[in-house]
Amino acid sequence: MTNPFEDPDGTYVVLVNDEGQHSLWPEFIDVPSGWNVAKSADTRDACLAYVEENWTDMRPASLIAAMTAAES
Amino acid sequence: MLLAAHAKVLAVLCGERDVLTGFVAPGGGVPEPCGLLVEDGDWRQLVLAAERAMPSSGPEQPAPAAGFEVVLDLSALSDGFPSAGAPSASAAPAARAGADPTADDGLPGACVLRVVVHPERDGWRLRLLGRSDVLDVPYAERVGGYLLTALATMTADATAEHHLQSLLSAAELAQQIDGLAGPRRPLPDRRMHELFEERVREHPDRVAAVHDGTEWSYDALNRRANRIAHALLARGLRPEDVVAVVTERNLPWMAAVLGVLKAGGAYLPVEPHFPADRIAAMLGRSACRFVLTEPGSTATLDQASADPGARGSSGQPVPDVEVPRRLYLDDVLAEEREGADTDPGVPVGAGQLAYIYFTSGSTGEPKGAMCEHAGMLNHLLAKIEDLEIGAGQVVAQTAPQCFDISLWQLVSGLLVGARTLIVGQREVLDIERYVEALVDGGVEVLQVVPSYLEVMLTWVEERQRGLGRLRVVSATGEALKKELVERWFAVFPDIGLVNAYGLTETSDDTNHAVMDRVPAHDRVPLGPAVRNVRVYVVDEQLVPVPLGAPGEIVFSGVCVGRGYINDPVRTAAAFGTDPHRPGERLYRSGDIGRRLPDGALEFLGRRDSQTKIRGFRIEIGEIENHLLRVPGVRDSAVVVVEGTDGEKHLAAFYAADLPLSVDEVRKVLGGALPAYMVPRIYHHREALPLTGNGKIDKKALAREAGEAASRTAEPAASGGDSAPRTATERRLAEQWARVLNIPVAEITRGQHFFESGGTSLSAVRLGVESGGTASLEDIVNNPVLAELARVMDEHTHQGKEQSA
Repeated sequence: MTNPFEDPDGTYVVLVNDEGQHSLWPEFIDVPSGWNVAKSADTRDACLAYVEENWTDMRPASLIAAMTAAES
Repeated sequence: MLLAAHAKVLAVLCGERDVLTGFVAPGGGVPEPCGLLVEDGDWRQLVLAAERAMPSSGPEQPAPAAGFEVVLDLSALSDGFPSAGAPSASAAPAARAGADPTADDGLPGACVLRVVVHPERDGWRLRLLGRSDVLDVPYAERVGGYLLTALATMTADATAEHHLQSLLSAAELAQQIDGLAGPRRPLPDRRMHELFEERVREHPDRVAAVHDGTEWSYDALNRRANRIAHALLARGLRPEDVVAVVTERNLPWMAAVLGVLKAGGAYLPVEPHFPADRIAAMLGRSACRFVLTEPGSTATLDQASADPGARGSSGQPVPDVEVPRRLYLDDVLAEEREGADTDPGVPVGAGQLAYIYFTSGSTGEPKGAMCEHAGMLNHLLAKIEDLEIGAGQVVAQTAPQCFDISLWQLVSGLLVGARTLIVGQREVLDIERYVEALVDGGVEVLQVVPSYLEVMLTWVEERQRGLGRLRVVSATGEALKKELVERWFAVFPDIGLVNAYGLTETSDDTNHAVMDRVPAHDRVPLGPAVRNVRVYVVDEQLVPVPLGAPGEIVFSGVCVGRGYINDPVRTAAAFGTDPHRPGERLYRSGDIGRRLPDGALEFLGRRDSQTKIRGFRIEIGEIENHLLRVPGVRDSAVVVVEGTDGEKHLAAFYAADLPLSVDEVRKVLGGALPAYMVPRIYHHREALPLTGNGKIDKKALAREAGEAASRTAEPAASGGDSAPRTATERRLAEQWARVLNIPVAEITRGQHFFESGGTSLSAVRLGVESGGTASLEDIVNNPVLAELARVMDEHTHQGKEQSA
């Protein structure tokens, strides 16, 4: 079984949800609700590079907020 | 057009692109073979391909001897057969499906499904004839529905890509997304350690844990955990800071795990015996800030600390590499601090990181799967519910620290007032002592990998021994064979079996098949989803496949972990998004499975080269990458070989100018990989065989390795190249041959058990084979055959003197 999520030659977008979590998404599949396109269609490597650069804090956004509030 | 729709439905139902059906042309006749490749593309292309594949126009193909499994029968359509190139929009949607699987007429030989199209005044009628012992009525009705959907979508837009369209009805989709979800249960808004603290207040003096004859009460355990938590907080531990725990499996380990969670840190288990390189990679990748350890567990840790930071091959940067601060548990527990024994009461969120387990990664560097408190608690409660763990019961802790199942074994009992019995590694490796420990400790709940379950069952069958108070055994980590389940219930009809399935990334097990008898299915199912967990079987578009069809197993719900630590790239590629539930995360397992008629999940295999050996998850690519780093190796391939006893081991092939020293290669791999990932057998080739498209031909290699395993053994690594002499040596050689799966003629007096492929599990088997005359300790201390035979003779001699 081939997998469009692991196709090195495929075209992808990068999705982000409200929690700031990123996901690689094949361009030809509809964007699921709850997620927004953070980077438009590009090669898999370019999308992975985008994720690497932009997803630096892997905690969910709500948790970051809660932990920040607890600190102050 | 009918043939195109029919082929499309068959392809989806089988999960294969290449389908073969019998075809009866309009006007009648015998079914003729019709093979069709259903490739991704639009409907028009598929219809044209179907036209070309028609038996009258395509090349003649031989009919299968037993007849066709599926036949498309258009014999009733004597005229008005539509031209394939111009689908008429009115024809298909007017058709109605009628399922009548009880009518067995016209189903010869192997045929299980006959799709018949009849003309009617206002269109066509679709009639499905199915063998009632293979297909039930709802299934046949669904198949009829898929056919109508295929015809409808095809005629609605012939240029639409058929591989992007689902054949499922809205009702079936809802059934798969919601109907097959695990039961919805409220998750308490408290963390695991807080629930434990409640039990401490209820019954402080009850025994919480036992190891090696030492008992700790709930209160004693809690005080120690609190001291560890306070010590970490006093040294500046921040929420989610990673704390490695490097200890043997003992009571201080248990206190350390609880202490880390109470302080709001993330628990990272590290086995003291892991290679230094791997420990360094784990500490570096996770940006670990503290190490909790004990004297005697620091030998490889010392080497690892000498070179902090990840030393993997991926070259990805690791943030904030600092040397983790090392704390000795003895010192920490003795520290005088006001309020050291009291609960720290640090606020810890449900979404906060709880623990990290490193698993094998295909690029050569292990990846650290992160799980959060809510997922961990949900799994602990699922185990408590499904294994019916209650107050006063005893749960066995037997799994190694690096294996995620060790965690529920360790702490689930603490939430309900039960007791954890830590069964040490010496007992685990000596089946007699192991069974004694379970019986004497009054263990009621146990989880083991199937290969160990088999060893245990063989031993108790031979000895006619009982298993004390044991009430339920869970098997996990690898496929549970039906034959083993049959043997189990034949001996222990009153001890339940639970086949558990799940992944480290999904907070351990997500499916429990609770069995009180042998299941009716051919294979042991993985069982339904546990509480608050959703498991889908999907196609490449993440859309559920028809019930019963194979697809990838994916997970949604509270079980899905946060990803791989400090590795957003591998996280984004494996942790996706749930298209069916807004905002929810999804984890794609790479496992292939299907739904059984009762909704239970069945495991069919892996999509990639990941494998499991004795429950340990192994990425073949990781081993191959390390093998490539051995000087002289140009190319490498590792395959899994299944011995005649059903036990799997790894065989390595390497391309090099000259054969390398096996000891040398083992040493290099052993310095970087845990023992269970070091291949048993090594084959030298000048070049590795390739497939037509230039990839290494793994299938050919697996075949070669399988043949080699049944034919020859590795040459003995040490000297003394002579056949066994004494009666004991000869008997022992026969036992080695059975346990190691090599011909007895190849075994020499000077042969080394562990260098001939012996593992700890095969040593346990050898102990069983020898009828108890060789203990595991004997085998470990005397791995050379002649030496071991001498020791066994001494035992026998002593035994005679004692009895005389």
